[in-house]
Amino acid sequence: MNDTLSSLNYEKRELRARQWEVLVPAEQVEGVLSLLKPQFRHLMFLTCVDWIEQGEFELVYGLFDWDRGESVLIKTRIPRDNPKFKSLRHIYLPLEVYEREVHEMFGVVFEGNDRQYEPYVLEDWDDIPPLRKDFDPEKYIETHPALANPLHDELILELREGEQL
Amino acid sequence: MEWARLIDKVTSKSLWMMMYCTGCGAIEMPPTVTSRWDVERFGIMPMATPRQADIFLITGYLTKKTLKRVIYVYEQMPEPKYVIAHGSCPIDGGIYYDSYNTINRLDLFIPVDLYIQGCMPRAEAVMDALLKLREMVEKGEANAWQKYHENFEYYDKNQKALFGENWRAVMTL
Amino acid sequence: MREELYSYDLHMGPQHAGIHGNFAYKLKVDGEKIVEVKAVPGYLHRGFEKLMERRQWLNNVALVPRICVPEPDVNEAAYCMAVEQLANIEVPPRAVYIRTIILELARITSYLMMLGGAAAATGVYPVMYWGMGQRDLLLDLFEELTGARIYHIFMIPGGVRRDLPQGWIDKMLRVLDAIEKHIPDYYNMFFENEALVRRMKGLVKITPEQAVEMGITGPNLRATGVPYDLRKVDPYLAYPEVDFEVVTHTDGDALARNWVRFMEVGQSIQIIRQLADKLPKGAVLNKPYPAINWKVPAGSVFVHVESTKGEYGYYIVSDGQSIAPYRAYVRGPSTTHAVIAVEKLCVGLEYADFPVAESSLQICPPDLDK
Ligand code: SF4
Repeated sequence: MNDTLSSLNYEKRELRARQWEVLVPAEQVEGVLSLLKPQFRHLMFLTCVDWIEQGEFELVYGLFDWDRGESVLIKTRIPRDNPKFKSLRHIYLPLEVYEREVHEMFGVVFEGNDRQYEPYVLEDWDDIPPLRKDFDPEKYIETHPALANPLHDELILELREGEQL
Repeated sequence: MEWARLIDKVTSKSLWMMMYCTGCGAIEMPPTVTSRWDVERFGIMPMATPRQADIFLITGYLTKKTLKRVIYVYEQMPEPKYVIAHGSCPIDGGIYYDSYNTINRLDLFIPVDLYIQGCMPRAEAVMDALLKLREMVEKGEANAWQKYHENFEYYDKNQKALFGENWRAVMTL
Repeated sequence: MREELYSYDLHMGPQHAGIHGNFAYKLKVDGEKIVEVKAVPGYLHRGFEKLMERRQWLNNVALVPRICVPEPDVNEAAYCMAVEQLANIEVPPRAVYIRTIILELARITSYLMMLGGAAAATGVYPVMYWGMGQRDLLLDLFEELTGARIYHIFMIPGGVRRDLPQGWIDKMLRVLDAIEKHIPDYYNMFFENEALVRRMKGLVKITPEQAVEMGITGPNLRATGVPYDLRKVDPYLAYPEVDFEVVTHTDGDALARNWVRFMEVGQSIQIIRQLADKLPKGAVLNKPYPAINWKVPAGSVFVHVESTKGEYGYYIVSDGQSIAPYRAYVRGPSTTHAVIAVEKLCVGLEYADFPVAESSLQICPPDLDK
């Protein structure tokens, strides 16, 4: 394990060969990322996991060390209602687009990233952010019947009747 | 021979295909137009601008965002124009039947002449469809584009249901 | 007055001959010079990550290749490796070798297509015609092996679906010989072609620091001179057991990027020959799990592989209770290439060069839109 990484005083777990996860409290993520940056120069991804039962969002920063082939996932939890986090794009440039994606898909606000409000992949979205666990695509399709296949329901009905016969 | 039939016959010998790759099926287009299957020998070739194209090949699933552009491109094409829908996604949603961002049935929004089934249809199937279309054009049977005039209210209603009332006015790119 | 006349917005795509795939850029142009680029993604957004949460673990195997069309196999490999890691499944060595062979064959198909596309963007069509013809030889091999030309769905957690058909290896080696014989032709047509070289030389030059900073991966990164290839740096499958070179170039421009891609075709052929030589005997599938209602133990892992476009990865979370992934995230290489790199690096180009620059970065929108 990398020296900088082993010197970190947080809960660590090995996920696979050459990969660890580190659980960091939200306010210390910035410090940890800037500490790791000289070694882990490549940001693989930033994503979010919706733990709806605990009422929390988990942000996952994936960092990679090109020279040693080691990767580390920095995980932090933020409250699910009114989710806010500091934008860290001054540390890793690609975060500009990843934060935009997380903002659109989960509704997390990254303070300091002005580009997150530009629409990313969705257009005219009129519901809660789609990757949240409480978003149900089937309900969404029901309320937007133009998305559905009008013949589908008839087909299903026919099949059900056939079954009863 | 009637004048219209003559035009049909001539048109069928030189069909140009709109080059807008909308979904997975786009990957089978290069083999179809290059040396292995070579549809160019039937007078069918890709064309970059809608103003000079006859065939619009919808090569797969359509998201809401793409569908808007597809309708725009379709309306820009001069008549007569023919639409081939490629794969199971434009027919009934295919593997994306429960996706919140793709449509499940293309002919609610624009009229379709021919469907090719399969996920994904092989290049032979695409060739077969193109040849079938050629036959249909020659016989004057491929006239889905007239439906768009006759039933414009129907298509317009569905388009507005999906995109909102004044989508044509607010669309940019 | 001059302002009004000379500066305007130019929309490239989504329906445009100069854009590969269904993607758009909004350019602000002054005369012929680009002063600002804004990427407009999302034309192919199907909500994959949501769909994956709604399918069972094994059903997802059929879904994942559809994320990226030009090279679907890396998806299968990365997804299966992630699931195997979570569920602690051993893969028989023969299956590992077969998977590696498939990945390398897929790499060649993808590169042949990309080089054809890059050449066609500058008007040199023969490369595209040859590349497509030879790619079809490989697709025929895939068809014999898996039953499908494009979406193979051949790898499943625990191995591969079937053993190799009889005589397939010999046929494959013959196809590779045929492709190798043509490599000089491609080289002459592409890299000795004055028109094409002049067009690409010095176009969108990237330094290694810039590349790492922007999160650029794959051939685009190696073209700047650093030997960062996940097959060597973070090895997976059978790559530690074969001997190959990481192709690099020091120029970092459009020509160098295409050169790296071209040279990797040769390396892939070498890799496949070695693998075919060493191919172990034995079973190809270890399936200690039920086909339906399989519950994968709780945990999370990120697995990445080297695709022809760059680093391709799956971050999978299982909560241990449900029969579907709790969360699946796909890291596509085009996210940084198409948005960060193009927006920052293409400013100052003439807009006629924009399609060439964009095609030299090999942006593939489906893995960014998902
Ligand atoms: S039918 Fe299959 S191949 Fe065609 S767009 Fe749909 S998923 Fe893709």
